[in-house]
Amino acid sequence: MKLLLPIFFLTISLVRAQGESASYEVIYLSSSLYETTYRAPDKEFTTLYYSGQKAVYQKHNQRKKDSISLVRKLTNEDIGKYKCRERYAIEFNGNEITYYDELGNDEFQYTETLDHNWKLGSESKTLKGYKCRNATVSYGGRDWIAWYATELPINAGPYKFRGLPGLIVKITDATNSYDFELYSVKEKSNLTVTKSYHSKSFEERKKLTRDAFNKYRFYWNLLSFNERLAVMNGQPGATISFTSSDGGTSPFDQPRNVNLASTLNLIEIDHE
Amino acid sequence: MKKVFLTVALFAGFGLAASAQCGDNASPISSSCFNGCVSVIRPLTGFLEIDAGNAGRQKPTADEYAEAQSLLDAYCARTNSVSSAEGSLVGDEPVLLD
Repeated sequence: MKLLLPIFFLTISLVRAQGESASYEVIYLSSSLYETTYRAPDKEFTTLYYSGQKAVYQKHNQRKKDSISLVRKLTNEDIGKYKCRERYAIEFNGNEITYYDELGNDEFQYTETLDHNWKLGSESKTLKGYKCRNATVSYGGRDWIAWYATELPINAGPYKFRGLPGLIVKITDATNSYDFELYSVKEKSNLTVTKSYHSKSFEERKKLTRDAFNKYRFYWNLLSFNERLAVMNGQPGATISFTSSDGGTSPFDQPRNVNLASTLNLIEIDHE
Repeated sequence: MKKVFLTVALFAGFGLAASAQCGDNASPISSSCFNGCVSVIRPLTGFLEIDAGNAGRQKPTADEYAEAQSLLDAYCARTNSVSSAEGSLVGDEPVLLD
Protein backbone atom coordinates (compact mmCIF):
# COMPACT_ATOMS: atom_id res chain seq x y z
CA MET A 1 0.00 0.00 0.00
CA LYS A 2 2.87 2.33 0.86
CA LEU A 3 4.21 1.84 -2.63
CA LEU A 4 0.93 2.68 -4.36
CA LEU A 5 0.81 6.34 -3.36
CA PRO A 6 4.17 7.36 -4.91
CA ILE A 7 3.30 5.41 -8.07
CA PHE A 8 -0.03 7.25 -8.23
CA PHE A 9 1.62 10.68 -7.96
CA LEU A 10 4.31 9.68 -10.46
CA THR A 11 1.60 8.64 -12.91
CA ILE A 12 -0.28 11.92 -12.41
CA SER A 13 2.92 13.89 -12.96
CA LEU A 14 3.70 12.03 -16.17
CA VAL A 15 0.18 12.52 -17.52
CA ARG A 16 0.31 16.21 -16.66
CA ALA A 17 3.73 16.60 -18.27
CA GLN A 18 2.49 15.01 -21.48
CA GLY A 19 -0.60 17.19 -21.54
CA GLU A 20 1.41 20.34 -21.03
CA SER A 21 3.87 19.92 -23.89
CA ALA A 22 5.17 23.26 -25.09
CA SER A 23 3.13 25.09 -27.68
CA TYR A 24 4.52 27.63 -30.13
CA GLU A 25 3.21 30.29 -32.45
CA VAL A 26 5.59 30.44 -35.39
CA ILE A 27 5.13 33.14 -38.01
CA TYR A 28 6.77 33.02 -41.43
CA LEU A 29 6.92 35.57 -44.22
CA SER A 30 6.09 33.70 -47.39
CA SER A 31 7.05 34.84 -50.85
CA SER A 32 5.10 33.27 -53.72
CA LEU A 33 5.46 33.68 -57.44
CA TYR A 34 2.09 32.22 -58.36
CA GLU A 35 2.69 32.86 -62.07
CA THR A 36 6.03 33.12 -63.82
CA THR A 37 4.87 36.35 -65.49
CA TYR A 38 4.35 38.16 -62.18
CA ARG A 39 6.50 41.25 -61.90
CA ALA A 40 7.31 40.33 -58.30
CA PRO A 41 6.25 37.68 -55.80
CA ASP A 42 3.34 38.14 -53.44
CA LYS A 43 4.40 38.31 -49.82
CA GLU A 44 2.14 37.12 -47.06
CA PHE A 45 2.51 36.25 -43.41
CA THR A 46 1.70 32.68 -42.51
CA THR A 47 1.26 31.12 -39.09
CA LEU A 48 2.02 27.75 -37.63
CA TYR A 49 0.46 26.78 -34.34
CA TYR A 50 2.45 23.87 -32.97
CA SER A 51 1.93 21.66 -29.96
CA GLY A 52 3.83 18.40 -29.90
CA GLN A 53 2.64 16.07 -32.64
CA LYS A 54 -0.21 18.39 -33.59
CA ALA A 55 -0.04 21.62 -35.53
CA VAL A 56 -2.01 23.77 -37.94
CA TYR A 57 -0.58 25.98 -40.64
CA GLN A 58 -2.36 28.62 -42.72
CA LYS A 59 -2.06 32.12 -44.11
CA HIS A 60 -2.21 34.70 -41.32
CA ASN A 61 -5.11 36.58 -42.86
CA GLN A 62 -7.05 33.39 -43.47
CA ARG A 63 -6.73 32.63 -39.77
CA LYS A 64 -8.12 36.10 -39.03
CA LYS A 65 -11.06 35.48 -41.35
CA ASP A 66 -11.69 32.08 -39.75
CA SER A 67 -11.76 33.69 -36.31
CA ILE A 68 -14.25 36.29 -37.53
CA SER A 69 -16.40 33.56 -39.09
CA LEU A 70 -16.66 31.88 -35.71
CA VAL A 71 -18.62 34.83 -34.33
CA ARG A 72 -20.37 36.35 -37.34
CA LYS A 73 -20.83 36.05 -41.08
CA LEU A 74 -17.83 37.18 -43.08
CA THR A 75 -18.51 40.35 -45.09
CA ASN A 76 -16.99 41.40 -48.41
CA GLU A 77 -15.29 44.19 -46.53
CA ASP A 78 -13.62 41.59 -44.29
CA ILE A 79 -12.39 39.70 -47.35
CA GLY A 80 -11.07 42.90 -48.90
CA LYS A 81 -9.40 43.94 -45.66
CA TYR A 82 -7.81 40.56 -44.87
CA LYS A 83 -6.57 39.76 -48.33
CA CYS A 84 -5.36 36.26 -48.76
CA ARG A 85 -4.29 34.69 -52.02
CA GLU A 86 -4.78 31.15 -50.77
CA ARG A 87 -7.38 29.88 -48.36
CA TYR A 88 -5.83 26.55 -47.46
CA ALA A 89 -5.11 25.16 -44.00
CA ILE A 90 -2.95 22.18 -43.13
CA GLU A 91 -3.56 20.19 -39.97
CA PHE A 92 -0.77 17.94 -38.73
CA ASN A 93 -0.98 14.89 -36.54
CA GLY A 94 2.57 13.62 -36.64
CA ASN A 95 3.31 12.94 -40.28
CA GLU A 96 -0.36 12.56 -41.13
CA ILE A 97 -1.84 15.73 -42.53
CA THR A 98 -5.28 16.87 -43.54
CA TYR A 99 -5.24 19.60 -46.16
CA TYR A 100 -8.27 21.88 -46.48
CA ASP A 101 -8.85 24.41 -49.23
CA GLU A 102 -11.65 26.53 -50.63
CA LEU A 103 -12.17 27.19 -54.31
CA GLY A 104 -15.29 29.07 -55.35
CA ASN A 105 -18.05 28.03 -52.96
CA ASP A 106 -16.67 24.55 -52.32
CA GLU A 107 -14.46 23.32 -49.54
CA PHE A 108 -12.10 20.46 -50.30
CA GLN A 109 -10.01 18.19 -48.15
CA TYR A 110 -7.52 15.41 -48.59
CA THR A 111 -5.25 13.43 -46.32
CA GLU A 112 -1.60 12.71 -46.92
CA THR A 113 1.20 10.91 -45.15
CA LEU A 114 4.36 12.97 -45.30
CA ASP A 115 7.51 11.03 -46.00
CA HIS A 116 10.11 13.69 -46.66
CA ASN A 117 13.45 12.21 -47.61
CA TRP A 118 15.62 14.95 -46.17
CA LYS A 119 19.28 15.01 -47.08
CA LEU A 120 21.21 16.77 -44.32
CA GLY A 121 24.02 19.00 -45.52
CA SER A 122 27.19 20.15 -43.82
CA GLU A 123 26.88 23.88 -44.42
CA SER A 124 25.92 26.28 -41.68
CA LYS A 125 25.10 29.96 -41.36
CA THR A 126 23.32 32.30 -39.01
CA LEU A 127 19.81 33.33 -39.96
CA LYS A 128 17.50 35.44 -37.84
CA GLY A 129 19.99 35.12 -35.01
CA TYR A 130 19.94 31.33 -35.03
CA LYS A 131 22.75 29.05 -36.09
CA CYS A 132 21.31 27.04 -38.93
CA ARG A 133 22.28 23.97 -40.90
CA ASN A 134 21.18 23.12 -44.39
CA ALA A 135 19.12 20.25 -45.74
CA THR A 136 17.47 19.49 -49.06
CA VAL A 137 14.34 17.66 -50.05
CA SER A 138 12.22 17.12 -53.15
CA TYR A 139 8.49 17.57 -52.74
CA GLY A 140 5.61 18.43 -55.02
CA GLY A 141 7.78 18.49 -58.12
CA ARG A 142 10.19 21.04 -56.69
CA ASP A 143 13.61 20.81 -55.07
CA TRP A 144 13.78 22.67 -51.78
CA ILE A 145 16.72 23.99 -49.77
CA ALA A 146 16.05 24.38 -46.04
CA TRP A 147 17.92 25.95 -43.17
CA TYR A 148 17.00 24.69 -39.72
CA ALA A 149 18.04 25.63 -36.19
CA THR A 150 18.90 22.79 -33.84
CA GLU A 151 18.75 25.23 -30.93
CA LEU A 152 14.99 25.38 -31.58
CA PRO A 153 14.06 21.71 -31.05
CA ILE A 154 10.71 22.00 -32.79
CA ASN A 155 9.96 19.44 -35.47
CA ALA A 156 8.09 21.86 -37.66
CA GLY A 157 8.28 24.30 -40.52
CA PRO A 158 6.16 26.16 -43.01
CA TYR A 159 3.69 24.59 -45.43
CA LYS A 160 4.07 20.79 -45.35
CA PHE A 161 7.72 20.81 -44.34
CA ARG A 162 8.83 19.12 -41.14
CA GLY A 163 10.99 16.22 -40.09
CA LEU A 164 14.27 18.02 -39.39
CA PRO A 165 16.07 18.07 -36.02
CA GLY A 166 15.12 21.69 -35.46
CA LEU A 167 12.72 24.38 -36.58
CA ILE A 168 12.96 25.34 -40.24
CA VAL A 169 14.09 28.97 -40.30
CA LYS A 170 14.12 29.35 -44.08
CA ILE A 171 13.16 27.18 -47.01
CA THR A 172 13.33 28.09 -50.68
CA ASP A 173 12.57 26.16 -53.82
CA ALA A 174 15.32 25.81 -56.41
CA THR A 175 13.62 28.19 -58.86
CA ASN A 176 13.20 30.90 -56.19
CA SER A 177 9.48 30.87 -56.87
CA TYR A 178 8.56 30.08 -53.29
CA ASP A 179 10.32 31.09 -50.10
CA PHE A 180 9.38 30.96 -46.44
CA GLU A 181 11.43 32.78 -43.83
CA LEU A 182 10.96 32.80 -40.08
CA TYR A 183 9.51 36.07 -38.77
CA SER A 184 8.94 35.19 -35.12
CA VAL A 185 8.61 32.25 -32.78
CA LYS A 186 6.96 32.46 -29.38
CA GLU A 187 6.03 29.92 -26.76
CA LYS A 188 2.31 30.12 -26.04
CA SER A 189 -0.25 28.33 -24.00
CA ASN A 190 -3.69 27.13 -24.99
CA LEU A 191 -3.17 27.25 -28.74
CA THR A 192 -5.86 25.65 -30.86
CA VAL A 193 -3.96 23.42 -33.25
CA THR A 194 -6.81 22.66 -35.62
CA LYS A 195 -8.48 24.79 -38.27
CA SER A 196 -10.96 26.81 -36.27
CA TYR A 197 -13.67 27.28 -38.91
CA HIS A 198 -14.96 25.32 -41.89
CA SER A 199 -17.30 26.84 -44.45
CA LYS A 200 -18.79 23.42 -45.11
CA SER A 201 -19.71 20.56 -42.82
CA PHE A 202 -17.64 17.38 -43.01
CA GLU A 203 -20.34 15.73 -45.12
CA GLU A 204 -20.50 18.68 -47.53
CA ARG A 205 -16.76 18.91 -48.11
CA LYS A 206 -15.40 17.41 -51.31
CA LYS A 207 -12.93 14.70 -50.40
CA LEU A 208 -10.30 14.06 -53.03
CA THR A 209 -6.85 12.60 -53.29
CA ARG A 210 -3.94 15.03 -53.26
CA ASP A 211 -3.30 14.46 -56.94
CA ALA A 212 -6.96 14.93 -57.89
CA PHE A 213 -7.18 18.13 -55.86
CA ASN A 214 -4.01 19.56 -57.36
CA LYS A 215 -5.36 18.88 -60.86
CA TYR A 216 -8.66 20.56 -59.95
CA ARG A 217 -6.85 23.55 -58.45
CA PHE A 218 -4.69 23.90 -61.55
CA TYR A 219 -7.68 24.00 -63.89
CA TRP A 220 -9.67 26.22 -61.52
CA ASN A 221 -6.87 28.78 -61.74
CA LEU A 222 -7.16 28.79 -65.51
CA LEU A 223 -10.83 29.78 -65.42
CA SER A 224 -12.02 33.30 -66.08
CA PHE A 225 -14.24 35.04 -63.56
CA ASN A 226 -17.35 34.27 -65.61
CA GLU A 227 -16.41 30.63 -65.84
CA ARG A 228 -15.87 30.45 -62.09
CA LEU A 229 -19.26 32.04 -61.48
CA ALA A 230 -20.82 29.49 -63.82
CA VAL A 231 -19.25 26.64 -61.85
CA MET A 232 -20.30 28.16 -58.54
CA ASN A 233 -23.89 28.53 -59.67
CA GLY A 234 -24.08 25.23 -61.50
CA GLN A 235 -24.87 26.84 -64.85
CA PRO A 236 -22.70 27.64 -67.86
CA GLY A 237 -23.15 30.73 -69.97
CA ALA A 238 -22.33 33.46 -67.50
CA THR A 239 -21.48 36.76 -69.12
CA ILE A 240 -19.63 39.81 -68.02
CA SER A 241 -19.98 43.52 -68.56
CA PHE A 242 -17.84 46.35 -67.45
CA THR A 243 -18.09 50.09 -67.24
CA SER A 244 -15.24 52.29 -66.25
CA SER A 245 -15.41 55.89 -65.27
CA ASP A 246 -12.07 56.61 -66.88
CA GLY A 247 -12.57 54.45 -69.94
CA GLY A 248 -9.72 52.17 -68.95
CA THR A 249 -9.65 48.44 -69.16
CA SER A 250 -10.79 46.22 -66.34
CA PRO A 251 -9.29 43.03 -65.02
CA PHE A 252 -12.66 41.43 -65.61
CA ASP A 253 -12.79 42.68 -69.18
CA GLN A 254 -10.10 40.24 -70.15
CA PRO A 255 -10.93 36.97 -71.88
CA ARG A 256 -9.45 33.81 -70.47
CA ASN A 257 -5.69 34.01 -70.57
CA VAL A 258 -4.89 31.19 -72.97
CA ASN A 259 -1.23 31.25 -72.01
CA LEU A 260 -1.89 30.87 -68.30
CA ALA A 261 -1.46 27.09 -68.35
CA SER A 262 2.18 27.56 -69.27
CA THR A 263 2.86 30.36 -66.81
CA LEU A 264 0.87 29.11 -63.81
CA ASN A 265 3.42 28.35 -61.12
CA LEU A 266 1.65 26.66 -58.21
CA ILE A 267 3.64 25.38 -55.25
CA GLU A 268 2.95 21.74 -56.11
CA ILE A 269 3.53 20.89 -59.74
CA ASP A 270 3.86 17.13 -59.76
CA HIS A 271 0.28 16.36 -60.77
CA GLU A 272 -0.49 14.94 -64.22
CA MET B 1 -33.60 23.71 -62.73
CA LYS B 2 -33.48 27.39 -62.33
CA LYS B 3 -31.39 29.31 -64.73
CA VAL B 4 -29.19 31.85 -63.17
CA PHE B 5 -27.04 33.92 -65.41
CA LEU B 6 -24.67 36.21 -63.76
CA THR B 7 -23.26 39.37 -65.05
CA VAL B 8 -20.65 41.19 -63.17
CA ALA B 9 -20.33 44.86 -63.56
CA LEU B 10 -17.25 46.47 -62.28
CA PHE B 11 -17.34 50.17 -61.75
CA ALA B 12 -13.88 51.53 -61.84
CA GLY B 13 -12.68 54.81 -60.63
CA PHE B 14 -9.80 55.76 -58.50
CA GLY B 15 -10.87 57.15 -55.18
CA LEU B 16 -14.18 55.35 -55.25
CA ALA B 17 -13.19 52.59 -52.94
CA ALA B 18 -14.95 53.91 -49.88
CA SER B 19 -17.88 51.77 -48.96
CA ALA B 20 -20.34 54.66 -48.94
CA GLN B 21 -19.38 55.58 -52.50
CA CYS B 22 -20.07 52.12 -53.82
CA GLY B 23 -23.68 52.23 -52.71
CA ASP B 24 -25.76 49.52 -51.14
CA ASN B 25 -25.64 47.27 -54.17
CA ALA B 26 -21.90 47.03 -54.65
CA SER B 27 -18.79 46.29 -52.66
CA PRO B 28 -15.53 48.20 -52.73
CA ILE B 29 -12.65 46.27 -54.19
CA SER B 30 -9.04 47.20 -54.59
CA SER B 31 -5.62 45.89 -55.39
CA SER B 32 -2.22 47.35 -56.18
CA CYS B 33 -3.40 48.60 -59.58
CA PHE B 34 -7.09 49.18 -59.16
CA ASN B 35 -9.68 50.76 -56.90
CA GLY B 36 -13.37 50.51 -57.60
CA CYS B 37 -16.60 48.78 -56.86
CA VAL B 38 -17.90 45.38 -57.84
CA SER B 39 -21.49 44.25 -58.15
CA VAL B 40 -23.34 41.33 -59.65
CA ILE B 41 -26.24 41.53 -62.07
CA ARG B 42 -28.44 38.49 -62.33
CA PRO B 43 -30.46 38.83 -65.55
CA LEU B 44 -34.04 37.78 -65.92
CA THR B 45 -34.75 34.09 -65.78
CA GLY B 46 -38.44 34.20 -66.63
CA PHE B 47 -39.41 33.03 -63.17
CA LEU B 48 -41.08 35.92 -61.38
CA GLU B 49 -40.25 34.71 -57.89
CA ILE B 50 -36.58 34.49 -58.80
CA ASP B 51 -36.40 37.65 -60.87
CA ALA B 52 -38.13 39.73 -58.20
CA GLY B 53 -35.41 38.83 -55.77
CA ASN B 54 -32.61 39.27 -58.27
CA ALA B 55 -33.64 42.57 -59.82
CA GLY B 56 -30.93 45.12 -60.30
CA ARG B 57 -27.34 45.09 -59.22
CA GLN B 58 -26.42 43.19 -56.10
CA LYS B 59 -23.45 42.86 -53.86
CA PRO B 60 -21.49 39.74 -54.73
CA THR B 61 -21.70 36.92 -52.23
CA ALA B 62 -18.65 36.36 -50.04
CA ASP B 63 -17.51 33.48 -52.28
CA GLU B 64 -18.01 35.54 -55.44
CA TYR B 65 -16.19 38.46 -53.90
CA ALA B 66 -13.28 36.23 -52.82
CA GLU B 67 -12.89 35.00 -56.40
CA ALA B 68 -13.11 38.55 -57.75
CA GLN B 69 -10.44 39.69 -55.30
CA SER B 70 -8.20 36.76 -56.21
CA LEU B 71 -8.47 37.44 -59.94
CA LEU B 72 -7.97 41.16 -59.45
CA ASP B 73 -4.82 40.58 -57.39
CA ALA B 74 -3.48 38.18 -60.02
CA TYR B 75 -4.22 40.68 -62.77
CA CYS B 76 -2.38 43.43 -60.95
CA ALA B 77 0.58 41.18 -60.17
CA ARG B 78 0.86 40.35 -63.88
CA THR B 79 0.43 43.77 -65.33
CA ASN B 80 1.30 46.43 -62.84
CA SER B 81 4.67 47.50 -61.65
CA VAL B 82 5.04 47.40 -57.90
CA SER B 83 6.74 49.92 -55.70
CA SER B 84 9.30 47.45 -54.46
CA ALA B 85 11.30 45.05 -56.56
CA GLU B 86 11.20 42.76 -53.55
CA GLY B 87 7.51 42.18 -54.04
CA SER B 88 4.29 43.48 -52.63
CA LEU B 89 3.02 42.53 -49.20
CA VAL B 90 -0.49 41.15 -49.18
CA GLY B 91 -2.16 42.36 -46.01
CA ASP B 92 -0.72 43.95 -42.93
CA GLU B 93 2.06 42.88 -40.66
CA PRO B 94 0.71 40.47 -38.08
CA VAL B 95 0.05 41.75 -34.61
CA LEU B 96 1.99 39.53 -32.28
CA LEU B 97 0.10 38.59 -29.18
CA ASP B 98 1.91 38.17 -25.90
